[in-house]
Amino acid sequence: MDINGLKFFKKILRFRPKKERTYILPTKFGAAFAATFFIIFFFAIGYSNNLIYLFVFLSSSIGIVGMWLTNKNIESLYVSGKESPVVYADNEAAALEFYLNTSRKEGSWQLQCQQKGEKSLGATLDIPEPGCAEKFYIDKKFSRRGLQNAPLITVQSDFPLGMFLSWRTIRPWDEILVYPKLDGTRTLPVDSSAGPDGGGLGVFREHRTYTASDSMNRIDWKASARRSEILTKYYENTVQKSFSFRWQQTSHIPNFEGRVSQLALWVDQTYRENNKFTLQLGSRLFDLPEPEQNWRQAMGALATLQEKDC
Amino acid sequence: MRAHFFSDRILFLSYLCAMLMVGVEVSIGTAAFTCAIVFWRYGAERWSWPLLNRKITGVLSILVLVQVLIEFKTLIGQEPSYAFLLALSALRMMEYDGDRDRKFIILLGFVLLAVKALFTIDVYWIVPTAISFLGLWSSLLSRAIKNKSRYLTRLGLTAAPLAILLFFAFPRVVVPWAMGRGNPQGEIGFTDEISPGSVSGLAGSEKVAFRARFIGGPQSVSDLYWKGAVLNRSLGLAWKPHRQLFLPQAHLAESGTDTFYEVAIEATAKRYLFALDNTEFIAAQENRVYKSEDGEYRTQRPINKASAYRGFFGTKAAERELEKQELGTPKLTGETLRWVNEEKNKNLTAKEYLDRLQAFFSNPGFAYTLNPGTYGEDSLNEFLFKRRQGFCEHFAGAYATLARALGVPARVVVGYHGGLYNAWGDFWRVSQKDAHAWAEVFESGKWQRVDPTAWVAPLRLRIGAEDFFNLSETDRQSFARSPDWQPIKQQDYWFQNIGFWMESLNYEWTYFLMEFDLQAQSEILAWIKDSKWLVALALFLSAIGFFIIKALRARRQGGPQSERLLRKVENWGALKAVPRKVSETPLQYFGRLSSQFKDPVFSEIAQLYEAVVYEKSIELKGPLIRKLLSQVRKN
Repeated sequence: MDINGLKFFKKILRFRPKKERTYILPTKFGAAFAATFFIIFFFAIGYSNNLIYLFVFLSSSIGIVGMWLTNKNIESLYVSGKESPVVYADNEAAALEFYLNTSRKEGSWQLQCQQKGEKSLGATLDIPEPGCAEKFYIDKKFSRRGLQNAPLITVQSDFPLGMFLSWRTIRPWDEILVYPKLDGTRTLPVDSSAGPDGGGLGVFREHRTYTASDSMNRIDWKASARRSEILTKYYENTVQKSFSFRWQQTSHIPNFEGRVSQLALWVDQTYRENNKFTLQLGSRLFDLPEPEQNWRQAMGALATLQEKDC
Repeated sequence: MRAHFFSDRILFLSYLCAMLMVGVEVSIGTAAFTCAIVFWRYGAERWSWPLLNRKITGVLSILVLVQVLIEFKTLIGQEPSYAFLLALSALRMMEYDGDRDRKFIILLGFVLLAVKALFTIDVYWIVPTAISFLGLWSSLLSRAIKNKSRYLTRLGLTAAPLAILLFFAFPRVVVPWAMGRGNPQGEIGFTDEISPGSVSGLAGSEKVAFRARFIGGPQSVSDLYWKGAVLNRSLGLAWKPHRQLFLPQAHLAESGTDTFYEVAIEATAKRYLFALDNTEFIAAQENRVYKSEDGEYRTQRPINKASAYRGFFGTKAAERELEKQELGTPKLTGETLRWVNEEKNKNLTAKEYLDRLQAFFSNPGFAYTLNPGTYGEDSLNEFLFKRRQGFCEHFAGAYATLARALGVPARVVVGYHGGLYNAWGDFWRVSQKDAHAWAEVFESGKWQRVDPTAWVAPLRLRIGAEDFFNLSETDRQSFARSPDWQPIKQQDYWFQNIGFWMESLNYEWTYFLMEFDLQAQSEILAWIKDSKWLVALALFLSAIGFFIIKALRARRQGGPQSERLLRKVENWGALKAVPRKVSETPLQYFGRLSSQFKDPVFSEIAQLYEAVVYEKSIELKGPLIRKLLSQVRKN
C-alpha cells in the first residue's frame, strides 16, 4: 500500500494544491443581481407573497446552477500535450502556445487567458467538446538562455450567465528550456564541410510554422493567408548535406554568449534547411540519427552551456 | 449609432411583455409617456431619429421620481412603484447601448415582473410572466450558446429541485409589518356604513370581492348572507356603526366542527371579514381575528392584500344583553312620525309590529331600482311616503329605523348575498354586484335576520345579483315581485365553460398561494414524518433513476470515462517526459508509449479506447480503468 495517511486524507478531501484551485466570485452584474433579488426577497417576506417567494427561489436556483456551471467550465480544463515550447532568448516577446482541453462533455466556453500579473486578456476562445483542444497564446520575453520558470497563466470565464467569474491558474510547463539567441553570421564556417548551397531547393515536403531563424524567402504567403499563421516551405533535398560544428569555429567572437548564439544559429539553420549536422561541445558530441531529436539535444546543450563545459 | 435594441428580438419582446403587464395598471399619462419613449427609440433605430443623450434621460428620470413622489407621497405601493418603474424602464431603453445597458435592462425586466407579482397573483398573469421571465433569462445566456432554448430548459430543470425545496422548506415567518403595506384603497369598495346610493355604485362592478368554498355546510343561495359590518347608529335612512375600541379575540371552541368554508378575499383596506350565520370561529393567516358582540369578525390589521381565511360553523353563541343604543332613532318628523305614533297607539306585540312592517313594505308602491335619484335632507319621509323607490340599503335602513321607533331593537347589516356558483371548481364567486344590506331584529330573545328586499324584489334574491342586474330596468321593475319568474337563460357556450374553468384554475392557484403558510408547512412536515418510509423509497427510486439516466447518457455519448483514462495516461506520460504531441491522436499516442515502454498494457488501452470511443461497442467501467492505470504506473 503506497498511500500514506496524509495522501489518503488529501484524496478524500479532493485536495488540490493552492495554485490549481478554481476560484469564483460574482461579477459586478452578479452582485447587482444578488442585491436586487435580496431586496425582492424582503418584499416577499414583507408582503407574505408566495408568488414572489417562488420568483425569488427559482431565480436564485438558476443563479446557483449558473455559478456551478461557471465553476465546472473552468475546473474541467487541463493542458493537453505538455510539449515544451521552442523559445529563443531574445529581447522581443515570444508567443508561447499551449493547448487547453476540457474533460467536460458540454465543453468549456468563453475562455480568456492572461499571464499572471498582467492586465491584458487574450482573445475569447471556446472548446466545444473534449478532444477539441484549443490553441492559446501568451507573449513572454526571455532575455537569457537556460532552464527558466514557466509563466503562470490564469484562465477565466464568466460563462454561461455572466453573473460569476471563475478562474484558475495553470502552469502549462514545469520549466521552459530557453534556447540561445540566434545571432551572428549565417554563413557557415568553411571547415564545417558545408557545400556552397546549404539550403538548396528540392521537392516540396511540408509547411512549417515560421520561426525567427527562417529565411524570409521561404515564407509561403498564400498558404499563410489561408491558415492565418506564417508558414514557411520546406523541401526534400535531393542530396542531403552534412555539416560539423565545433566550439572552436567561433573563436573569432570575443564573448562567450556571442559564441553560443553563433553556434545556435548555425545548428538551427542547418536543421531547418533539412541538412545533417554534428555538434562537438568539449567532450560531448551530438550526432543522433533522428534530425529533430539531434537538433533538440544540440540546442538544449547550447541553452545550458557553461564556459567550463567547453 | 448605438446598439440596436429592437433587433435583439428575444430581449425586446420579453422586456416589452414585462412593461405591458405593468403598463395596463398605470395612469394614462404614464402609459402615454412610456409609449412615446418606446416609439422614439424605435424611430431612432428604424428611421435614424436623434436619440436622447444620457444627461437628458437622467434628468427625465429624476423628474419622473419627483412627479411620483408629489402625486403619491411614497414610492412604496402598487401605483407609485408601477408608475416609476415603467417610466424608468422606458428611459433605460432609450439609453440602451452595449453589454452594460443590456444587463441593466434585463435586471430591470426582472424587477418589473417581481413588482407585478407583488400585487397581482392571478393565474391569468402567469403565462405572460413566464414568457417574459424565460426570455430575460435567455437573453442573459452567453452568445456562445447556440441552442439557447434547450440550454435554458436544462438549466431550469436542474434548478427546479432546489427552487421547489426552498419554496416548500423556507419558513413563512410573518413579520409584524407584513400587512402594513399593499393597496391602502382596497381592491373592492366595501364600506361599513350606508347612505342612500352607496351600494348602487358597487352593483355595476364586475370586480370579485371574494371566493368561497364549502366543506360541508350550506350551499343554497338563500343561505348565503355574508355578514360584514353591523350598523347600530340610525340616522334615518342612513346608518353607521358604533366604534368598538376593544374586541375579544375569537377562539375555536373545544367542540369545533369539521364543517367549514374557505374564503379567498381581495384587498378591502378594511378589517371586516365576511362570515355566514352560525360561524363560530374564523382562522386567518398573518392576522389575528376578533369577534365583536354583534357577531362581526374583524382582523387586527386592515386587509390590504388578497388573503385567505376559514370560517368554522358551530352552535350560535348566547346573545348579549341589549343596550339602550339599539333602540335609538333620530328625531322622526312628518308622516313618518305620524305613522309611527298611529302604530304605537295600537299597543301591539313586537311580533305583530314586525308583521305590520312587513305589510307596509310589501305595498306595491315600493319599487326596487338602482336609480332612485337623490334624496334630500328629509330622506326618510321622502323615501317612505313619497317616492318609495330604492334598493336594499334604502329598505334595510328604513325598516330598521321604523322597527326601532316601534320599540323593536333593530340594526342594519352590510355584506354580500349569494354569488355565482362555479361547478368546475365547486366554489362561489362573490362579486361587487352581490353587495347587499339587510336588517336584524331582536325578537324571541335573539337577533333574527329580516331582509326587506325579499318583499320588494324577491327575484333579486332568488336568481342572484348577476342575473338580476343583467335584466333591463323595465324587466327588473316588472318582474321584481315575481319570485317564480325565470329569465331566459342563454345557452351554455363553450367559451362560458372555458371562463368557468379559468376562474376555477385561478381560484385554486390564488388560494394555494394565499393559503400556503407556516401551518401548511408544518402539515407537510408532519406528513413527511408520518410517511418517512414512502419518502425514503421515493428518494431511493429517484436516485436510482438519476444514475440509470446518467449511465445511459454516458454510454450513448462515449462517456467521460474514456476521457478520464486518456487524461490519466497523458498526465503519466508527461511525468515520464513522454508528453502527448498536439498532432497526435490518442491511438497514436498509446502506440508510441507501447513502443517506447514495451508494455502490452498500452496496446490493451488502445484497443479498449477504440472500442469505447469509436466503435461504442463496450462500456468502460471504473474498476477496469483503475486496474489499467495501476499497470501503467508500474513502468
